[in-house]
Amino acid sequence: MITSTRRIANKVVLTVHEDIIDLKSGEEFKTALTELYAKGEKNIVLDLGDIQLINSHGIGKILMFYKKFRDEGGQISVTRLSGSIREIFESLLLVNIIPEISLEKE
Amino acid sequence: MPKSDLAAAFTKFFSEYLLHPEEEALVRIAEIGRNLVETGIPPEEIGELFETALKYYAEKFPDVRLSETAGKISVPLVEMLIAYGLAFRQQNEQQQVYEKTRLASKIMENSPDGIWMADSKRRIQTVNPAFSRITAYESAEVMGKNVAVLHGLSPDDIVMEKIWEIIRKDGIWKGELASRRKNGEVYPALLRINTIRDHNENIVNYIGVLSDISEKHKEENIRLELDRAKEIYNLVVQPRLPEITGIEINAKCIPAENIGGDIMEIIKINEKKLVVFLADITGHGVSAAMTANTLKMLFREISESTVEPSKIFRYLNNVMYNNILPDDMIAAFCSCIDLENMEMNYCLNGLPNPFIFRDQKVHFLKPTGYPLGVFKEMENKCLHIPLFQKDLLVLYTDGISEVRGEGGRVFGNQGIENSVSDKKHNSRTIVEDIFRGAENFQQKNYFSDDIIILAINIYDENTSFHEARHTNTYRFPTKSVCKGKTKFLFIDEVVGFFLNYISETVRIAAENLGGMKIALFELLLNAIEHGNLEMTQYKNDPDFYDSEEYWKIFNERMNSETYGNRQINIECNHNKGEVEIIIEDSGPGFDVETADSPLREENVSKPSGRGIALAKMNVDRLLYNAKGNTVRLIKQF
Repeated sequence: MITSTRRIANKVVLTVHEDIIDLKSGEEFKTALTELYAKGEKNIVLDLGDIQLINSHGIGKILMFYKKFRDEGGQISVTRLSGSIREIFESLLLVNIIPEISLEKE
Repeated sequence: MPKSDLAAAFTKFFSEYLLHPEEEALVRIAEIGRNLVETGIPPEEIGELFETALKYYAEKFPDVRLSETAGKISVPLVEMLIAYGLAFRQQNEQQQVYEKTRLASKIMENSPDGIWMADSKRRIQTVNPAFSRITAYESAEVMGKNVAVLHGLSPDDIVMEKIWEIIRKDGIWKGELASRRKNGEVYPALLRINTIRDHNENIVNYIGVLSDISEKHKEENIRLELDRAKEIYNLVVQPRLPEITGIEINAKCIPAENIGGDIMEIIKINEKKLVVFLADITGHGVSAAMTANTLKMLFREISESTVEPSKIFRYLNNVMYNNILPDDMIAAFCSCIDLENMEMNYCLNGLPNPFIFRDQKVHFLKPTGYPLGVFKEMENKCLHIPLFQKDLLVLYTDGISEVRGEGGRVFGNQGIENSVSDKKHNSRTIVEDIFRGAENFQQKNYFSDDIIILAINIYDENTSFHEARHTNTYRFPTKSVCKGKTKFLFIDEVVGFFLNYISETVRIAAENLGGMKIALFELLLNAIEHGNLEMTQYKNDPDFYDSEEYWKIFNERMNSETYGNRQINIECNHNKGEVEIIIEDSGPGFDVETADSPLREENVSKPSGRGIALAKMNVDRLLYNAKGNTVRLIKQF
């Protein structure tokens, strides 16, 4: 599995362990998000601290679920953006719409 | 510092400088030079010191020819001539001392470079022995002559005028000059002209240091010729990868020393018939490549009039018998694959046994005749075998089968069988397994002979759509190609194929090529989804994208004749650390200028539309053709 989940207070942290750089990893990532959505989770934190790369397929999934959770009154946020992931998020202006949070402060 | 220590230090640093010409050593030499002058050492001794240092270097590094260090010596030599010349002038306040010192003559005598010294009117005052060796002019006959004349030019030649103009401005000129020897022969000279000025900055002397670089030029020309020969071979060796329903082709080619005598070709006769040809010309290098070129042209020509392998071979033998060197021969295989009747006719003359891989077992083909080009008259029979779906026809040249391992053991048919048997294979995995098997057997990752491995997979397009993906691929050291129908192209597999190629050619582990992987993935995905499947309007609708209906349309198009059968061609070229990938789809193209920017506010939250932006982040250049159906990405490693 390229992802794992853990619960912190009212949030579910979905940690991505492998770079999302092909169709296979993109689909596994989508499955993990779909499961959380189906369970009725509202607050999702994507922990991207373990990965260095993500392709448009992966970003597409994040944005798709960002909207789905928002429409259900929930929210997706991200945490631990590494150098290259942060660069991608900043370059594509994703930082403007997806909040970045620090879990340690929670 | 005592004089003897200074002398020892001079020898050491001078020697070091010759080996590694770095600024630091030159500064030290200059410093020692100044200290030596301060000790009041007579000019003769400095000259001898230089000679000792040169001898010390020659003895310590006997493998390095002094002439090879010419380029290195020139710089310190001229610097020293000037430095010591100035130093003596300052000491004695007599300008003429410099020209008269024995130092100058000692240094000049020992130099492998030709050196001339001229007065302010550019009239020769002295030349060294190396100059006479290079130009054939004796010292006495050039005294007082204009410098230009020594280089075979008239004093008012426009080239010399330009050179003097630069020297007047910069005080130095360095470059290549087409010079003439005494006998009129033209030779390329690498010339450096420095100036010596008096206290009023007037030029009083010119010093020219020249070397004859004819040999270097010859070598360069041969190298350029070879490069061009390699380019032609690269074009010749590459087989056509015809798109035939039910046929998947994968080929890998590695020529020894980058130019070889192996060739292959696959010719589509019609939708149900193809002719396959593989040949290995004895020897390798330019001569084998020339024969290979001729052979391939002949094969293409004859295959237009007959598909019968025995007739093809008879024709090739007749022509090549008179057109190859007497000690050369051509080992070859030719087959006609008939998908209508599921059978194959073949001729196998001298090549190591091709085989059919069926039910995870190797079935070697029987030979039919002698190599081509050996006997004027050739009796050649054709063998006939039935074919079945999922059969893999595998061909290879003796560069693989004759690989030697521990104790001189030969890889042979047994090695081939061990590498592939009892496993499931497609045409790509079988090529790679044979290649790796031979590599492991010989315990080294380079081959001493040319290598071609070619695998042809026969499959039923109607039943195998869901169980396998089919693309035709070709791998060569400087190029790899992948072609296929959209519906048979599995993006992760194709990205993996090219990433593996790039990793091996630029020698960077695939896991460190993440950026390239992303770029390739994005552009390939665009070619499939936006190009060939024309899904743009559906992908751009955030509410529709990824919905059930979206995937229904996607799958319908993927399986359709109109969209799914559209070709995608990907080509990757590698040249001196630069990787270029060209992806061409068969869609209507798009206008790059008017494509929605993912950075526009209304687009930021869209789930798609940022592939190009992501690809751009990971490559040096990204270019589209005018139509917008071909993208070229370039990355320097």
